[in-house]
Amino acid sequence: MLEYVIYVLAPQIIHGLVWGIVIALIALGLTIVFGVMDVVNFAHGEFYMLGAFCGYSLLFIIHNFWLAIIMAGIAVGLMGFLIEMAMFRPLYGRDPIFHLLLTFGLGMILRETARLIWGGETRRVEAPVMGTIDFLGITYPLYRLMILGIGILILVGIWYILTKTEAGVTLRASSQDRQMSWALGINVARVYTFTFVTGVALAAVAGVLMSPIYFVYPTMGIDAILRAFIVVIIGGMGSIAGAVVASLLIGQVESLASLWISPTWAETLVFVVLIVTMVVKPTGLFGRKGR
Amino acid sequence: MAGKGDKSMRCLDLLRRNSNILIIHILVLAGLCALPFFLSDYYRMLAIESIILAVFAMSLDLIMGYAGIASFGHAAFFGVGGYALGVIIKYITPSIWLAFLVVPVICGLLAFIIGVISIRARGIYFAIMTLAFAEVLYRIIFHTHALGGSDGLIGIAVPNLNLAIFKLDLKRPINFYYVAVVFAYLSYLVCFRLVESPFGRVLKGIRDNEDRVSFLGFNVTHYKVIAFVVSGIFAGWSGALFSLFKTFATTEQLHFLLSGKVIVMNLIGGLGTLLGPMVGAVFLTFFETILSSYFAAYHIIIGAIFIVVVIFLPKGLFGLILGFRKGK
Repeated sequence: MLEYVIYVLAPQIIHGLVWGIVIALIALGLTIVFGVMDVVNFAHGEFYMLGAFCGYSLLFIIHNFWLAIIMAGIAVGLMGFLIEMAMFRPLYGRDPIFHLLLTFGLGMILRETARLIWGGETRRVEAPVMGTIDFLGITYPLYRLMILGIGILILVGIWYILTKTEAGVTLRASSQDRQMSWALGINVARVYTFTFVTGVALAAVAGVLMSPIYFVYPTMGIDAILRAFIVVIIGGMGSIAGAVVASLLIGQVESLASLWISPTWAETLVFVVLIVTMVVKPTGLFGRKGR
Repeated sequence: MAGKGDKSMRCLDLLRRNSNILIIHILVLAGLCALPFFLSDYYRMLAIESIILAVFAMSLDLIMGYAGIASFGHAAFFGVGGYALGVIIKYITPSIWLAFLVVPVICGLLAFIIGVISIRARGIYFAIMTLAFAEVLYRIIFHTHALGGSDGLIGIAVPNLNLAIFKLDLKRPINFYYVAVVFAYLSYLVCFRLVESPFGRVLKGIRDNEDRVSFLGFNVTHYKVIAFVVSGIFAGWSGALFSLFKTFATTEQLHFLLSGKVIVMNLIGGLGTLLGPMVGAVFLTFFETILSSYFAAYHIIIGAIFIVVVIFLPKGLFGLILGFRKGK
């Protein structure tokens, strides 16, 4: 029994935790962008994919994984900046379904462009840190624990920015009442652009972080986005705490379920969790009322 | 406008009242009947495919354009319809009529279940709920070996269509083409009748102001679910015909890319016009197929079209024309 816990259950729980944190990083951008801008970004997964590919290519030039993460985040953030200015601004204030379609098309373009640049085959990135850690008899790869640490650090940092700084107050104000914020002299358009850029940069960072564990390929964003969507809905669209809690929940559901059923069916189970949540509480766990 | 006449009689009545429209109907049908004689086999096949997809696009317009609820998982019904037909013809009995009787039952039931659960969510939430349901179905079918798994259900032998007097050989593209045209035309008439009926008016009311309709004493949820079921049935039928045409049912028929594409067909054509989405479907299908033969990375151009349509033509090409006519 104890052996089962140490060798099977505990590593799987940590797996779930790591996976959950990565989902949270992706979902966070999605939920913030929705909460602030009312934009459902269906191309969010493509920024995650672009991040992974940028990291992959940058590693050939700079040979430093940690620097590559930062640079990939900046590069993808810059791309997000241009896209936001060119495509999203004309749609401010329109029904979110238009954004969904816009980003649907954008996703197609980004996937196909990535295929043209990097080719369709799957690639792998070497982990920057090898080796494992032993703790209470549990052996666990060091790099995965580092993902966990970095992820938590980023999440805490975002929480700090949103709640304790002037920028966070501005952001929350724009999210609550766009018109009133504008009247009070907040440059709402700039807040939106900043939000979007931060969101996609986070996804890109998640992409690089995951690249040594998962494969890198042009359609990897699709798998990621569907899961991120689910998490965001379970948590309540626009709710940051909700997204984090739901990510951790889904991470656990998936990794523990795959102990007993095949991983593909474990993925399907995630959708079942979503449907059950929606039946019981249509606004999601931490959802705002209305709509 | 209320009346309880026979469906076809009502349609004829509507047509009679507007002889111009009757003439247009006859001209369009005559054009469609003459069309295959000017097309090579390749374009005939493409025409069949686009006509079937036109019905699929129209089925989405019923709920999206008229009831104002955007389904982002409409491919689920298209795919399930295809698989249902495949299973019936391949494993049960090679009867197209039976398949076309069973498919609406399955898809209608499925739409009812999905509708009842998802309808509690509004707007974008509903869209994502339907997306999730479609993904569950996609994954279930993808991992079911009895249905061919990732290969799809292949090798559906196309039986002859029994038309009482004679049997129509559907393996000939030209015969299939006429069946598709008749199917699309009948579907259009039924949907047109539906949206012009009092029921359709309530749907439009829901689209324009849901709360007011419910204050007027209509059960909004009932209306929405019924519209969703009807829409699912037509999507299922078109999916069934699609699989019959392709002689296989693939998981791509359920994929969310198709769900997105069919929304764009609607947007290109113009929501809430029935004919617009059909034109949009034909346009997108032809455009995509022709483009893909010249350019491997044609998804870039398709994606660009999506973006241009969404930003500049939210009312669609058809809406643009109608807008000019009304002097907007």
